[in-house]
Amino acid sequence: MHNPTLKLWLAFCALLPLGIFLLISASYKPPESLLYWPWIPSLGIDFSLRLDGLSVLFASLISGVGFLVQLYAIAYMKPYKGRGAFHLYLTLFMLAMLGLVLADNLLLLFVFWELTTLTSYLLIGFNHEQEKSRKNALQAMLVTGSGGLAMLAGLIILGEMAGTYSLSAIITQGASLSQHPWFTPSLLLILLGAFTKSAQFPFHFWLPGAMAAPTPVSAYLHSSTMVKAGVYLLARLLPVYGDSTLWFTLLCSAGAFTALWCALQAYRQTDLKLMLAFSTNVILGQLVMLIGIGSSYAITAALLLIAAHSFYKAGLFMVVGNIDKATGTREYHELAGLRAVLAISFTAALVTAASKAGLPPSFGFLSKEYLYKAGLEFGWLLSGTMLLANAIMVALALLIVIKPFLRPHHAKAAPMKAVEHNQLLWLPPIVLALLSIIVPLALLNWYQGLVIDPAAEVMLSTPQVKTVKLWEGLNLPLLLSALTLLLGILLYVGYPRLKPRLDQLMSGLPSGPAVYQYLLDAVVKLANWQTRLLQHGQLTQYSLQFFLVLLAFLSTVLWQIHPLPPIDWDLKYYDIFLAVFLVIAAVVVVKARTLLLAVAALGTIGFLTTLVFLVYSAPDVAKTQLLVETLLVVFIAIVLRHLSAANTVPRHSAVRRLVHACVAAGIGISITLALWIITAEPMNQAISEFYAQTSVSGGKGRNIVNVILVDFRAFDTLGEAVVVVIAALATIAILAGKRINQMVSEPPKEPR
Amino acid sequence: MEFLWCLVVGLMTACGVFLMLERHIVRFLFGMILVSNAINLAIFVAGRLTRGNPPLIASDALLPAAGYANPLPQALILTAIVIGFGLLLFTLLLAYRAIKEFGTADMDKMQHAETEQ
Repeated sequence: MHNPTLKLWLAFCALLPLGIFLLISASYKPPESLLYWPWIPSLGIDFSLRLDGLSVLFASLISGVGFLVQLYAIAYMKPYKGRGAFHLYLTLFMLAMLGLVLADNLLLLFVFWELTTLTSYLLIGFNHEQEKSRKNALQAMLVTGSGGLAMLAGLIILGEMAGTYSLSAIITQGASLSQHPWFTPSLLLILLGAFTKSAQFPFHFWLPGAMAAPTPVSAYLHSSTMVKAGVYLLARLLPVYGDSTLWFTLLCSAGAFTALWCALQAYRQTDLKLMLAFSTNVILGQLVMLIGIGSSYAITAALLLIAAHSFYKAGLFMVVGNIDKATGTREYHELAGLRAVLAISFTAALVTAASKAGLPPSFGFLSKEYLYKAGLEFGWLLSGTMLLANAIMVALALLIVIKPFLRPHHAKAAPMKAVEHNQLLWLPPIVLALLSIIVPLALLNWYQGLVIDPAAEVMLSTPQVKTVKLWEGLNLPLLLSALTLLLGILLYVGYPRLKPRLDQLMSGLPSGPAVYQYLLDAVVKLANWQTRLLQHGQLTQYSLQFFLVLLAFLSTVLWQIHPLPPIDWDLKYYDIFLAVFLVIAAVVVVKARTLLLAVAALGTIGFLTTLVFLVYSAPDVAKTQLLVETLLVVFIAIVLRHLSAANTVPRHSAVRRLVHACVAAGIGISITLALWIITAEPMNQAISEFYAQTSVSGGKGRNIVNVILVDFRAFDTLGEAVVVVIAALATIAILAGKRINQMVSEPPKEPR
Repeated sequence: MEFLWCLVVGLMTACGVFLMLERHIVRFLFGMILVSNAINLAIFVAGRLTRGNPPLIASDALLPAAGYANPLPQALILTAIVIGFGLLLFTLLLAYRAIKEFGTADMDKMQHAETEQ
């Protein structure tokens, strides 16, 4: 760190979250405080922020853990190129995430939601030299981004249903929206967004894929913050949707299944980081399930679990990062005896793993107790599923502590080096470990008063806040906890035999990334297919397609005419004369065997049109048409002189020409009908009258058309002149440009 | 009398479109000229037709004589004619260059850009 600017920047990045954390703590006055700036008032979009029990929990986790992660990243990212950019992305992500949890406007929330997707793309793909990083970053972005689009639709429907986009106003309306016909679609769309963001089955796979990111990113985004955005949204909208049966069913089944499925997946991993990633999926599943249950026990459990998980999971990720630093691998069977070099990390691992396993008196134990309390209210199925998932968590916690640290070092294990001389590598995880113990032991009342009570107030319609206690005597949840530990130890002991069995069982099932890849390939195939279908390189086919589409649009006119307007046959003989000759000339152009005859007929049409303008009181137009037509005929004749050889072009087949005739006739008829309807309608002359009245007074001219062109619409005329000049320049380029064939085929001249 | 011109415009457009669907690039161009003439007429007709009363103001008057022709479509068509002229000339020379380049006026044989990939 010799670069002083970089040093300053890193210090800024680390201190910013600390400052925000302190600011939030200082400005938070339960139950809520609001900040409001009008942004686009006409669209109902305001930049309004709201700090209440729920958002203060998330905001302080984001800024607090953010501070620790920034510190950790300073040490961890030292050997990386572009570490200044890394801290920038991390800071941007943090700000977006803070905006997401503080926003009090649905659309503002969506903007921040997408910003977290974008910034997390930059972070996951930080090692962009590796194909895997790029691919997995894209995968995470496509999955959460498409979910986000669905969510946008859902949020707009919600806003329209409620008549306001302000979250607090929507929440006060509460369950009254459930009678609205659009209630279910909005619920489903919003769930799609929340489920993709919070990695619920079947969208769970992007989260383990995102482990391609550097470890600080995993510790921050994929344990404590971004993946919990979906949970936050669900918790936020609980008062609106909570009473719906669909909500309960979907959240409980998706959450419970995600927890169980990903627990089994986590059990199969050999990479410690992937193990942690899948167990994050488990916790997210449990949180979604708890919000689905929505009872006061469930909400209390969720509020405890969110903080408990953030502390221990971020800590564990950092420990795994340190293991990676010390040995260069994260495969647990290559690791042994690390206690010797990672003594402090080992302590952190011990405490955080205890919290993960739910050993008393850790934060994890507390949240698990309340999880069981909430589950037991709804019977054995949910509790049993959670028991199994938690037991696997216990087994993994044991594995993470015992395999790398407590086994004696042996010859086959990876070589290790000391890394803990850099304090920033061990300080953040040890702080997180301490928090996992201190909060339940000493700060529980404080947590209750600042977070649980006010948050339950916002989330529940009839708040009966549960006072959280660490020890509530011998009861069924405590027994379940004991059972979990016992089962977990059994699963750990049986690991060598159970894992191959499980692998065998699950190997036949389709994996998330494979299905995703299949769908992505299908999209590309579809795009290729339609490109080949439409972009075939046949110029005349293009024109046919173009006119078919035009006909499809124009023919809509045909359905709008009933009754047909009356026909006004007020004609003079010269009208008929002009019309008949125009039509004859047009037919001659089509029928002409030689180009010269066609040019002659075209010239005739031009001059007849001039006469039409003259007859119907448009002398200026007639004059221009006469000049232009003369020039055009001359030019065409000149060009044709040089093209005498190009006369032999085969015509289309008779069938094709018949199709063409039908298309052309259809377009002609549609235009005639459209024009007929237009001319039968009464005409609004206001603009023309304005020009006529102000021509002399405003434009100082007596030829109204002239005044319009050079005065009222002078800029149009200027543009028109520019177009002609550009056309002339382009024409010169066409004539002077080198021939493509010569450029391609002419071999370079060799010196003789 | 507008109805007669509705018919004429429709017929001219149909002839022009038919030409624009042919293989000969110069005939395609003729189709374009025909269509652009027809559409100018269509705008003119849509603004209503008036006999013998151009939108001019006498030297001793402030307003044109009652029943004057609608000046707005005339101004629009004037612009359209000039721009159309530039466009048609450009297309004409593009066609000329294409014929020289490919040695044929057959549009179905002009696939240089596609085969070079």
